[in-house]
Amino acid sequence: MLKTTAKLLLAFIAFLPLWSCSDEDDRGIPVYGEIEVTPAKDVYEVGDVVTCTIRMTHPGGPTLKASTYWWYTSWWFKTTEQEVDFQEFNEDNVCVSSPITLTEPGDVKLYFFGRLEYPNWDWEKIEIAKTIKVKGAAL
Amino acid sequence: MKNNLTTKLKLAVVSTVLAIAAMPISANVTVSFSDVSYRKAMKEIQKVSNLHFFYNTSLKGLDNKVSLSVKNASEKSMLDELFAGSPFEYTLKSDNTVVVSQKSAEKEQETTKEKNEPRNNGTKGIKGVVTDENGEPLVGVTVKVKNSRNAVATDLDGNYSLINLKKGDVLELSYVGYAPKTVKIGDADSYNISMSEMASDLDDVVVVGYGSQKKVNLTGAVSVVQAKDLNGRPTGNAATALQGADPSLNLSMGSGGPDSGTTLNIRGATSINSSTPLVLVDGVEMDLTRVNANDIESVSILKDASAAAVYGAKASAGVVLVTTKSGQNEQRARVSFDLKAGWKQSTTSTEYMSSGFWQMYVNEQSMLANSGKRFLTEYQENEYAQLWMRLDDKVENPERPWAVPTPDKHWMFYANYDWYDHYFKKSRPMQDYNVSIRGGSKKVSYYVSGRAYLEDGIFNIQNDKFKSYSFRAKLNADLTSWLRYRANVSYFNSHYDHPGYYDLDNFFYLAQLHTYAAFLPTNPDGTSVFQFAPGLVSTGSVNVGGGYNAMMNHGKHKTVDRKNEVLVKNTIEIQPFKWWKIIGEYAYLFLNTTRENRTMPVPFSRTEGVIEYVDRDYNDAKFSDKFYRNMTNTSRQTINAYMEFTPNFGSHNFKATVGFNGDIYRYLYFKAGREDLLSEDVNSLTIATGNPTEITDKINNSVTYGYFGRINYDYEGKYLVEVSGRYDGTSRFAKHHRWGFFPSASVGWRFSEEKFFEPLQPIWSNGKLRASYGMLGNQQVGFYDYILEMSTNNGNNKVTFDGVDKIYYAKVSDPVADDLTWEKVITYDIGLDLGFFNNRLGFSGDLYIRDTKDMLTSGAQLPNVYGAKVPKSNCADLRTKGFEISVNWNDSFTLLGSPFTYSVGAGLGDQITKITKFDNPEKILGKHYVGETLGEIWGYRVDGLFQTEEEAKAYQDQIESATYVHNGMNSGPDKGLHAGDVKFIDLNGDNAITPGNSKVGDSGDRVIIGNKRPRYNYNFRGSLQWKGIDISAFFQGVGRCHWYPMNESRTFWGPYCRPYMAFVPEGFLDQVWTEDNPDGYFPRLRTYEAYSSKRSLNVANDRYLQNVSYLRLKNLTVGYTLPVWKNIFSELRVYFSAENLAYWSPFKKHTKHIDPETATKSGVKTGDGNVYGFSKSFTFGVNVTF
Repeated sequence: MLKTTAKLLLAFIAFLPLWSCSDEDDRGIPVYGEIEVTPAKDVYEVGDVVTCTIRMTHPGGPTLKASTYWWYTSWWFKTTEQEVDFQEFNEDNVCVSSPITLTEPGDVKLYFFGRLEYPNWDWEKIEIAKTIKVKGAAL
Repeated sequence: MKNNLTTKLKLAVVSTVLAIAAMPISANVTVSFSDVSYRKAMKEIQKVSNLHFFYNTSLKGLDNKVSLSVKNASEKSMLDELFAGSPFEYTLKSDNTVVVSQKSAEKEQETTKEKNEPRNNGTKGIKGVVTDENGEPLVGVTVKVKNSRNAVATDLDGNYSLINLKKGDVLELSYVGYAPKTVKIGDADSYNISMSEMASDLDDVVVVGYGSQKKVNLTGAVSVVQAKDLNGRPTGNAATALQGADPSLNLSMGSGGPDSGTTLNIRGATSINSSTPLVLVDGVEMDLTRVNANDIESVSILKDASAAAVYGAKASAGVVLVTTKSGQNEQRARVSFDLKAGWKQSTTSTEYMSSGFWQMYVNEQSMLANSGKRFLTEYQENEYAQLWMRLDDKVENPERPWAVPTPDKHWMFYANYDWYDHYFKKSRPMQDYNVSIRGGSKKVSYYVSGRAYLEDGIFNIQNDKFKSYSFRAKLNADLTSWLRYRANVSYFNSHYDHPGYYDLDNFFYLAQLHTYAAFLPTNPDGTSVFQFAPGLVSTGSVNVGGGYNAMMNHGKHKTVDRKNEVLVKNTIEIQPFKWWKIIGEYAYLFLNTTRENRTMPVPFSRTEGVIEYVDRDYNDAKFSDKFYRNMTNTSRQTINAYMEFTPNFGSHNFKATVGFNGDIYRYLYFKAGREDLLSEDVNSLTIATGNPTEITDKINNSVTYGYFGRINYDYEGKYLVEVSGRYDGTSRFAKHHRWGFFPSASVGWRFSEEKFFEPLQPIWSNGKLRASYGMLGNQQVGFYDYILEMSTNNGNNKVTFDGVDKIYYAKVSDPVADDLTWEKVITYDIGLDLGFFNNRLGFSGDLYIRDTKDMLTSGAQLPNVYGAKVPKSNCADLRTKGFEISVNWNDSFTLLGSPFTYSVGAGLGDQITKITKFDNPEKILGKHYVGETLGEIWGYRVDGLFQTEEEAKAYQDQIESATYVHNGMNSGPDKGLHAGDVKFIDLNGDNAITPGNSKVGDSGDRVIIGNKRPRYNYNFRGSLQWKGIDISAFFQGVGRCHWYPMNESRTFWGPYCRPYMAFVPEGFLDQVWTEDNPDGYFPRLRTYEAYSSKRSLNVANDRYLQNVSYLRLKNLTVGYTLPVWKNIFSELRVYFSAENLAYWSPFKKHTKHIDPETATKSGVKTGDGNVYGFSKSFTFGVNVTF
């Protein structure tokens, strides 16, 4: 009985790697940390200028053909510029946004987006957000 | 006046209701009493049934005692049992009155004798043997006591035994292939019973030209489609129900639209001009799309010249004879309702890319690869990032809206909008209501039916709706023993209300242009999207949806098609002797069609607060402020006068038919249109203030007269001969070329009737060999092809003389040949009909050759100095060879005490047509040539795609292909051939890919790669009935058919056609070649590769040649007859029926978005497949008969 159980256990362990080998892992998608806002505050004021930073904790697999990253905030579409903030990861695997002037009060979401291009148009969307509290009147 | 009309209408309704109420309604009776007088017995029965007894109270024996106990018995059997052994006899009248009278003296004596015989009221057992007519025991015969569960089956020696029987019980015997039998139990204890073979389908009567024949005596090639295969199907009309019913019949719908016409063809091409068979409904030429399939009793398809000979001039392509249901003599009125409702869906996938990012990206990449330029100039890196952020937003996220205002008050769009779902409904309801009343007395019978069919169309924003109503009334009356009168009246009305421009094909052609998923149909302020501010999206004009989006949103463009058809047919039949019948028929058919179309400029906006109009300057006539109405009136008078002789001389049986057929046809077309109407909502020429845009008037007349004769002879039903002929004249040819004689003959030998065949009969029940020869004429040419025509312009083109505009002028048509005459169609046919196992297994097969001579086409090429088109003349021939086979198996056995009846059948047909004479001695491709197989597709051979740049370069260095197949390599950012491009094979080894001189034998690298004519039509069907459950399935398919997608086959090619095609199928990219996807079906993504001439997808080649053969589950029906309320309903059945439920096709490998039947259709462009898609339908229904 014990022998059989051991065999089953072995078989289960042998198959475990198959479970863990999902398609995503095959592609080796990079892993990212959380968005950090500088300066760090519990509550921000309208008019504060902040910078967002994110770290790539794992660079991903070799099948990644190209990648594009940018920062975005929810009110930018109301401005005349409307441009997203394209940035790249530096040598330390850190991606830093341009300075962002907070113009809207309330719960404000700061987004980090990535477009990872894999073969056969099997592309991956990266979307990481951080919500900060902003006080004051809209600019 | 109004009151008078209303009163008349009320009277009509009341009288109809009364008439229906007065009709006898058959019902079953359950009653039980013991030892009561006949007077009381009749009263008791009156209480529980619809019967009313009438009798003279002075009848002797009314106080005699009687006992009766019946459950769910028919009225007749109950009355038989009541009066069995009584001094009375009865008559059951059609109004449910039972007239009881005294039996005659002789009968009374018999009754008295019966009464005096000792009665055994106790139960007893009986036994016996069941045999066939020859005394052979029958195994497995079901012997059942009526109205009980007491039943047994006979053993191997035909023996049976039953217990618990009483005198008077009735035995019911049933056995497959034998006529059911009942035997009343008397005093005997043993009953040996003989059963007779049931008349098989060989005894079925088949409708043929001007008469009918027993199927067994047919010598021509005739297929029959029975009512059960057509009735009750959830199809819009009889034509769609008939598709695939017989392998010889090619029925093709113009599109999947509710009002679409059909093209019929029997045994393939008869002529390069027209191969349309003659379709006769109750002897009158009619369109099947205006016939209610539920009215059809049978359809005979006359395939060879022998069968069709009596129809002469119009029957060269075969004849479809539709016979509608008639009343039945001595049958109580049966009122039947067939009510069904359900929904329709597309037969194909409707999942298209609805991701704004991916669709923009794919189309832009295809454009960049072609020219190195963007098509949508403003959608650059930032805009693609905007679209990517919204990639997963199925609905608009307030944090990233789909329409973003620009500083100068325009909008940029970043949507994920499903334009297919915007335009089209995924599911649309349909309803179908049928009612019929059928019955008759001894001398008069009637059939009345009505139908209402309602269907919502495919359009979403401005829905299209189709309604049709049909009515038919038939009356047969035996006025005297020698004079009969038959009346047949039918009416059809349809109304199709659809949006947009009058031509729906135009919608399917244009609506997907520029409707990228990134765009929205309306701006945030609710205005329609059509064009964008200059330079905002594109450097050129981007007309979203070709204007159809703005048009549909506006909702006032409208087309209404109406059809009204009335048929009145009267027949007088005189029968002076049993063997002589004279028939005179006159039918008048009138069809009126009208079309109203309203167009107008429609509003749109590209700047907030500024409304502009799409008008005629943007897109031709679609946006003119215009209304037009056209009308056609078609009348057809059909006169038939013929006689039928059926004298028999012992074993010599004759049947002769001689007669006259006249057909007088008149067609009137009128159209008037005018611009600038005073209102958008009122559509009438009278409120138009502009100039007339069109006034057209056209009349076509034709007359055909024919004298026909047919003689059938058989000797003892073994040797069969038929000779027929027709002398036809038509107004479509010049005076001295109008008449032609078309003879035919056929013979048959029923070898199974020979003495030497007798030993085989128990297994091989029937065998017949048939052969026929016949010649028919084809008059399917223009009405006035032999006359020079003169026409005027419509006032659109001005001609100036001396400074004065002369708007109108007349011109004469090109010269014509005045010696045009009939095309002649000669058919040779041999056939074999076999039956096995008491005809439970049946086989029928035909081989045929059909020669068409003197086809009308352009005559010999004339020198250019002739200065006009070459006149048509009778100067081409073709030959068709083909076969048809069908196999059927019908059987029944007892399963768990109930009969299990089932049948399976299959059919296969094929034909191939070759040109045998044509004035093209050089065999120039593009014209017909001797030896050509009709439908052949010439193209290049392809050896896959280049997988590396090196391979492409090496090919380019060796082979010149830029001129004819790789014309695209001369332009774009990266000129030359590259990995992913199509590799054409240099078949003739001249280091160049060329079409040669486009002649047979000098066709460069082109060869025949396929054939677009459908081959190997097949069907198979199966059905079963058991314990009230019925299931039937019908499959239909085409074994081989090729299609090379045209340059405007937009849904198939997607971005390879143009960079602004919006309906790009989901999963499309998986089929596109890339270095990472070397097995991709399509070449590297590059637009215009299919659209522009002399490019790799534009030229026909075997890699992209599509196999559009298919197998379709045409119909699946599952029903259950409820065993309840039998005293009210003679049938109460509920069912589910699905039409076009599924299809299988190799075509699906490359697209699931185009139905293989739709692919080959022509919309705006020939063979582009941009048409109203086909639908599958799911319906739930109930049949009620009482």
